[in-house]
Amino acid sequence: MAPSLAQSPTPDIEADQIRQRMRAIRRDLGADVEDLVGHAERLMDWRYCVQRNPWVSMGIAAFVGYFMVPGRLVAFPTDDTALRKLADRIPVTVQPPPPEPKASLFGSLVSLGLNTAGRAALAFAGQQVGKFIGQQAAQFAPPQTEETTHGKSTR
Amino acid sequence: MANRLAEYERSQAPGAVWPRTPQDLQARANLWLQQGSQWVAEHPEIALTTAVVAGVVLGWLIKRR
Repeated sequence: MAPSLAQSPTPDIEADQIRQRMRAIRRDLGADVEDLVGHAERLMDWRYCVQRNPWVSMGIAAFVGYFMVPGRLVAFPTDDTALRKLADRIPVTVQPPPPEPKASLFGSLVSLGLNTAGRAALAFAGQQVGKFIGQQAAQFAPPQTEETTHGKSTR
Repeated sequence: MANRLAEYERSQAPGAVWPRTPQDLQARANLWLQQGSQWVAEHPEIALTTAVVAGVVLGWLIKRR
């Protein structure tokens, strides 16, 4: 059985220890926060970052310089003579559209037969489903007695 | 590596033939890298400006020519 607080031999000493620890934590907290702020400020300083990673910083700077240079603009001629020369250089050949594949008599007959069979199967399936639903409804419907039809109860 | 560096420093005397082996070359390269990073840390503005200018020149040569 665990001893209760009232039965503890040194509750005052434990409380004092806890108070001392809390006081020490409070005292250290200020110094820790100051350290943290100083460290964050140092991290935000670009000189410190360059000192820590000199070659990476140099590479990033060179990369930035490389991407600062815009690409070359390609200007297309828009005057009549240049466009005419350009049009003369492009060979104009009109290609006839590819002939559509002709359906053979056998193929059309097979597709017609498949169409008809599919429709007949669909109609038959619909008929069967309707019949099944009708049977189920008749089976689970409550029997209509004389009392229920006249709205009278036996109780 | 420290021995190689010490040997390299000793070999800076006039008339000394250095490097002799691949390890010598590696020691010299490491020394240059160390000195370079130290210089960059001491002069960050000059180093970054130089790097940006080098990047611009490289980009100009590649993209615009």
